[in-house]
Amino acid sequence: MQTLFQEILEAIVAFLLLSGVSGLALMAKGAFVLRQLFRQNPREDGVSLLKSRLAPAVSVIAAPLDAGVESRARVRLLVGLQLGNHEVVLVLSGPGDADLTAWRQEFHLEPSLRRISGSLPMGDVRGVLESRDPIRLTAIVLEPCSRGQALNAAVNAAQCPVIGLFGDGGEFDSEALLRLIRPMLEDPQGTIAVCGMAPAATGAGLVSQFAALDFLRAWLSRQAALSGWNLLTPAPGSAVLIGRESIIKLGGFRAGALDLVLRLHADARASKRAYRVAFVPGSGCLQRRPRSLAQLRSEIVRDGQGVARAVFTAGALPWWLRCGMFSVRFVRPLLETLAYVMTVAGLAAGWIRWPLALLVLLSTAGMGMLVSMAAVSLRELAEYRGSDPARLAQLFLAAVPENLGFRQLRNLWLLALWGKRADW
Amino acid sequence: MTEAALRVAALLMGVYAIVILALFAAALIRGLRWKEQTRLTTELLPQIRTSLVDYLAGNDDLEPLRRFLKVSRSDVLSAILSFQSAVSGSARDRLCGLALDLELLDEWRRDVRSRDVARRRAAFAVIAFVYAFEPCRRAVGDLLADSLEDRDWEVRVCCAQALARFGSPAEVVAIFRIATKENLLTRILLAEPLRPHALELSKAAVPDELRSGDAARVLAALQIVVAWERALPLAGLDEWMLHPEPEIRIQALRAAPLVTASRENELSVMQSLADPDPDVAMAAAAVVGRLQILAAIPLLVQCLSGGNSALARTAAAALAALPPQGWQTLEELAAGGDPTTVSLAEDVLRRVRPARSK
Repeated sequence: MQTLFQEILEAIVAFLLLSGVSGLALMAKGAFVLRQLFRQNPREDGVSLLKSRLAPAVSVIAAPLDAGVESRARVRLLVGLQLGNHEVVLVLSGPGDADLTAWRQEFHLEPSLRRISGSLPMGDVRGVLESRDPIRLTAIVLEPCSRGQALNAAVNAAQCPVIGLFGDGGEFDSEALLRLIRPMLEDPQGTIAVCGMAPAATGAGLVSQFAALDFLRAWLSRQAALSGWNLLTPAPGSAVLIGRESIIKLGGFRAGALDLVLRLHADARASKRAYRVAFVPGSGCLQRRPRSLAQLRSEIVRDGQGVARAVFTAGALPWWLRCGMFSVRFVRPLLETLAYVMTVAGLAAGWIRWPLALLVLLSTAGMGMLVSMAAVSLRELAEYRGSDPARLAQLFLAAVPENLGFRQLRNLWLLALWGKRADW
Repeated sequence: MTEAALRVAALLMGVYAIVILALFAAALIRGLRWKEQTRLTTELLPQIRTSLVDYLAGNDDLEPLRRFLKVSRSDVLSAILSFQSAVSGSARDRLCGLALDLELLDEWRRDVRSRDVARRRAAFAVIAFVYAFEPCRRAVGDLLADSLEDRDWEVRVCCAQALARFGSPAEVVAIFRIATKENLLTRILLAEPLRPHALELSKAAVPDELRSGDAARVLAALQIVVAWERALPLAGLDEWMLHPEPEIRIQALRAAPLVTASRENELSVMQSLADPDPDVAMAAAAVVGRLQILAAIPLLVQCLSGGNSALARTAAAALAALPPQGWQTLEELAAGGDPTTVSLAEDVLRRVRPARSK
């Protein structure tokens, strides 16, 4: 019994070490891809793109959940995006009278006689509103429906060949569209989608530092490295551009941008045609930092559930990647937690000795620190300009407390609600 | 067994830790350097700009600029470049002349051979700027033309833009040809500097590309014509409005308001209103409004009631752009019939009515 116990623990340790080493390798690949991308696109051609009639028009679609100040400010930012030709299509799913009044007052919306029709399944249209201001904003009021149906209504109403979607968990500057559209201009036929996302500046608190480290690791491995193999999927809060025709061909949204991009991958892979989902790290779209532990928890759980969607969407990603994602987001937290419990129990029962306990600590917290510290250093070296050394050192050292307490808590969060499939 | 594994794991992780610490140290040193450079730039740049303004205003004393060059060459370079869209004529020549007076050109010519991508690009950017000045052009020689096939896209575009702006007529034609062969992004970036030469190019180079027989080049040439947005004496556009490729038909239609009006073009536009591809028909409907083709009103009515909502919207907008006959037609459509057509016609009329009452 004692031998078996010891052997199981040793096998778990071996798995955890191997998983950590693969994580390091993946981040190194991500750093190389990022450096290449930053080298390719340093030009600021915004003015030429802004003036040109050849740049495709973009319909930015949004389906805010409420009419709060933050949601309205966000739509105003979408209206203020810079591009020669862009419109905003706002979908309000089952809004109350107060919410509708707030939207009407904010953008001076008036009833329009325009009718929304299209091939995509959407919610029942209660009315269409258009802004009296000199802005291209159409609001579609729907009976309560799913997010997928709401987004489909926006696609049906969109008048431009490219659809833009800015994730709720992200911030963006007004030139984001000008940067995101570039890959579509470089290869209009082959580029089926563009995703843009980068880490925001780190705050001072520990929660902010932990969030920054978590995002950095995911950004280098799941975003940058996978984009190097053309297996990119949008992260929470990403800005995404997709051709309207591609969306219609796939039958529209079912949940959100993640599901759609996964199905785009599956469709393109099944048809065996050359395609590209482009990554624009310098698009000006940044992930918003959680302000509290509760926000961080919900972000981490949501991200984990997004991974679950990627793992269970058939044909979207190759089997080895799905296995890897499954092991990173579910098997590793499970085995790590199990290893801690077994180590404590084993030490108490005298079944294992201190060297094995140390090995468990090394393969979990020790490896975690190395991976986080590597993420900070690799990201820094991938970019062409330097960062503030004090902030950099702070983030680097935050990897120590992150792995002595927060990591274990994070494992429990990931295990708690893993089965659900989130989208953004 | 466990002790041995612990030793191996500790050793392995120790090696990783050393590598990561070395990387972090490199990042930290770079960060410190960058911080110092940023501080220096914040301090120097306004002073360099003031010296440059003094120089452009007629002060021939180059000593302050020489001093700045000794402290931070890159800041002087970016200050010079920051003036490129702000100066023209003799002031621009004077600014470009600095490259010769301060003996910067030779240094930039050395930098274009650097292995550092950022340095190379910066050198090409300033050379492309000073290429506007004839003495600098002579000093630069064939460097830009030779770099049109550089491995770096950025350098190629930079050189092509400079040659399109200030090159010889033969070089301008060569850049136009390059623009028709490259991707859409390059085409957008080159169309702008080629715009001043649009009239010259439309005499031979554009028709040559249109007659090349290569659909991709035809499409590219038409896209450039559309991007120029200039009136051009291009004949025979109707041929492209009826081309088998829908994308070529769309671009030809978009170019129609820019070329000399002809009966053939009007007929082709009207024919395109019945095109099986709704995008082509939409492009035609948009053109009808701009060209004021009153004879197309019955065809626009057919588009309005054809079933495609986007085409119907464009056709309604085209009718609104054809007063008074177009407005009368819209009023008739709004009076009764298919509810979708009625609501579209009412919607458009509601928008044009205030203008009408004025």
